Amino acid sequence: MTFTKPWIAFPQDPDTKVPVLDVFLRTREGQKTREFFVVDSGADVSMATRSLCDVLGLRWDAGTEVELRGIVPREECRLMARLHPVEIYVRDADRRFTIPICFADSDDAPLLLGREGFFDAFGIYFDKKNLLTRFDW
Amino acid sequence: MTPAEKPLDQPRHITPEEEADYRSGDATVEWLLRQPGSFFRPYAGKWIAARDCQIVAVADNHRALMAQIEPADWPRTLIHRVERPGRVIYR
Repeated sequence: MTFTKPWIAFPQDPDTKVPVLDVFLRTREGQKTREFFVVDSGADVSMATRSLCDVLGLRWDAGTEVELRGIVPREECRLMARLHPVEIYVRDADRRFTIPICFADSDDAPLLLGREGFFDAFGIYFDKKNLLTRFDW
Repeated sequence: MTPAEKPLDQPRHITPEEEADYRSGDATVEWLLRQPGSFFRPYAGKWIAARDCQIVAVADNHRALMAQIEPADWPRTLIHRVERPGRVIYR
């Protein structure tokens, strides 16, 4: 089984695009929220904001503590995060599964789908020439 | 990854109401993916919410954006963080 997803444009240049996937997550009220995540094969684990952690009804402090560091190893670039298992629903594949998501202590962190869990669920092929991502399962 | 951590693939349990919300949102996803870079330029560095193929809210962060949207509308609303101009390496 397979589906493809076009990449989304960056604001500065129509030729610069990034692979994304829309994912549903169940909120604390039992609703769902649909969010675009960047599909990032360079990320060890998926990442989201602390706000999304709250929306999902997860107690941020209860997650496993993780320290995020930037390229520059400065103290001010250090950001605390908490790892939680989260159920996601991928509509294009009609699949729901649980992956670890690292919720940064920030409401402006990028939403990323990293390798742990997500890349176990799908074979992912980045087609840069055609600006498409193919998901196989 | 231990067996307990492996992704848990589960059968779907989708109500007709959920399916209607999903379909409504599908069109908005396709619409947003068709937009050129110039469309996103006014929103660079912002969080945007799109519903029914239009931008319905803009904010500086995820929390402020979600506060602008009625929870009942969340399933039909697509949330997207528009990057700032420049090359991006997520680390």
